[in-house]
Amino acid sequence: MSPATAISLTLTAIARHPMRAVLVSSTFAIGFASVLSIIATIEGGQRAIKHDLDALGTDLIACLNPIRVGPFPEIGEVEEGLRAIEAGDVRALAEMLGSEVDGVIPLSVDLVVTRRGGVAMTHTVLATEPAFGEVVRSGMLAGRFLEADDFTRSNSSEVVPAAIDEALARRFTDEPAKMVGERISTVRGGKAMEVEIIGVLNDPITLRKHLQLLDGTSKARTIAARRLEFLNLYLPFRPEVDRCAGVLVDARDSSDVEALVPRLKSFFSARAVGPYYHIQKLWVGQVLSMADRLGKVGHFLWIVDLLVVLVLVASISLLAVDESFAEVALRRAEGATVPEVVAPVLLEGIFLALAGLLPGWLLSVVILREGVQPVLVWEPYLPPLAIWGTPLLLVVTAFLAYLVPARRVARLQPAVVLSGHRD
Amino acid sequence: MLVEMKGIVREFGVGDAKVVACDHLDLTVETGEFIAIVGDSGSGKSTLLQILGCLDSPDRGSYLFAGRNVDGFSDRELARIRNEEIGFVFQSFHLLGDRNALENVRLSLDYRRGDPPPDSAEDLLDRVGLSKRIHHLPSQLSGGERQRVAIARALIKSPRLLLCDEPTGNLDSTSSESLLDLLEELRTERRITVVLVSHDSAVADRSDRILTLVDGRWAS
Ligand SMILES: Nc1ncnc2c1ncn2[C@@H]1O[C@H](COP(=O)(O)OP(=O)(O)OP(=O)(O)O)[C@@H](O)[C@H]1O
Ligand SMILES: [Mg+2]
Repeated sequence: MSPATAISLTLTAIARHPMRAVLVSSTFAIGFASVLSIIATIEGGQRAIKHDLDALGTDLIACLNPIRVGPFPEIGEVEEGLRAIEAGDVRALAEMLGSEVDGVIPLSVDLVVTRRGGVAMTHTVLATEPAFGEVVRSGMLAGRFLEADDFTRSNSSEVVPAAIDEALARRFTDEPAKMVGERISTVRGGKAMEVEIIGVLNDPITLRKHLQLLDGTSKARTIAARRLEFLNLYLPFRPEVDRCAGVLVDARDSSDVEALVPRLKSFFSARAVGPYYHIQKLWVGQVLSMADRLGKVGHFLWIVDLLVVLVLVASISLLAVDESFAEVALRRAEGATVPEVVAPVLLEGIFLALAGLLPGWLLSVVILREGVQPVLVWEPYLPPLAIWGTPLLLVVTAFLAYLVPARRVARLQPAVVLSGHRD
Repeated sequence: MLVEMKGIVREFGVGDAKVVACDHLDLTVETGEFIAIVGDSGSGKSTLLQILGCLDSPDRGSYLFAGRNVDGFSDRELARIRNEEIGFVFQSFHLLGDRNALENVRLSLDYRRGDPPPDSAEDLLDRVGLSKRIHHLPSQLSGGERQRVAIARALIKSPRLLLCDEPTGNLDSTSSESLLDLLEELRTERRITVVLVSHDSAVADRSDRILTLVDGRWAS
């Protein structure tokens, strides 16, 4: 029997039982859709968690200057003969790492006094570069964060552009967002200066997580309130004026951090610089392993899903094949070999599974768009392996489901059926 | 000699329930012969016919078909013999209910490996007098017409051996007569060897030779 005959026999068999074909194909389609949805939801969730963690600074390595921020238990003393990080070190480091990292960001931490109306506030100033704004995601910001232009502007003019924490802004006004565009005067390092607010940062929880490492570096750390509320003014970092409290190395991905740390260490020790390294990775590892475990539960779920499809389809096809015993026996009597009667059975399963792929895929798109995404917020994601792997798995499931009836067909004794001795 | 069987034994069941359907049967059939096998119900007629038709294999004994020893044949070789050399007409027609006369006649062509058959299905249906019924479903045909479709289905293989298991069992005497006339004509026309099972002596009387089975053995 030629493959074309086998295919045409299969298609005829399918066409003769449209209801059955629709049922089986729908089972495949629904199974496929739910497997895709589970995988896309879990994978999307894992990516979202990882992305959020990265945005929270998990891919940040902070190299801090104990000399500048003063010794305290967490950091300890710098070894004898080592010096603090300077702006030149930051530049050299940025050159060495180039585009291997998202940014090499210098940071200075200072305490200043700001006055507005009748209110005077002591608070922290963070001088840094635009790359620091990576952590400030849209929705967290009214106005904008520091941009490259602000650096030239702060060099040439008396008025320094700055972003302000919402909590600090609240000390001066009831409507923090309205401070964008306003000017306030402040005293920094004994010098008076005027600051123009270009952006207001809210969401202190996210920021706090990101800036936890700075708690220890802030001269204001003894003020309990400052550890909890973000009372910062963000100014452009000026190498000639600002003294480095440290440098933040923003790795591309939290998985890059491991490899970067030894390079940083050898870079600094070659320059006789002795920073304290703060790496926010440990707790991240824990969260990620939780996400991983969630993923494993997901695998379990979709395997169960495929098993349900297998059992359902196997029962339908088994009943179907029982109905066709007389026909199979007759075909054997008319000269069909065992493989020739088995092939159409297996092919039918595979064809119906293939027919279920497109509707199943569409269904999964609907489920993910209308059901999952609005509730979970994160973007579903299908890894490339799943894109071609799941259809393959479905076809294998179809094959396995039809193996049971195929076996019955193969074992059928035509003489027994045709002489009516079966039953 | 087309068929040469020696010591064919076919048993069913075990222990007390054991039935010896064929008990050391010998049988030779010459090419072109018309043999009728008669016997009581349960005497083993159908079982013997199925072994002859390579649908079933004996537990013991040897079977030469056209000089070839069928015992050692693979599933594939047996299928080929059934497909090209042996036609089967069953007592209960065994037509596919959801396919019309023409499609039923063509059934074996799906599996044909050798040359295409000499007759077309349409010609054969015409030959058995059903040219106006080729697109009818079995349910739209009378018993005699269905049996003639079954004969056309057996003939499309242009078989050397035609096996008929009580072909007239479900027909009234007129239809049964005309069916036998048809078989007779085809046999002489195409030089086909026919082995027919019946317990109707009127049917058996038209054969060259009548063999009687009693409990799986030939009556002497
Ligand atoms: N597949 C089978 N399983 C068990 N017993 C069988 C089987 N086929 C035949 N037999 C038994 O073998 C014996 C012979 O059966 P067979 O069908 O050959 O009889 P028969 O002569 O054709 O009878 P009838 O005239 O009623 O058709 C019977 O007793 C039957 O019960
Ligand atoms: Mg019988």
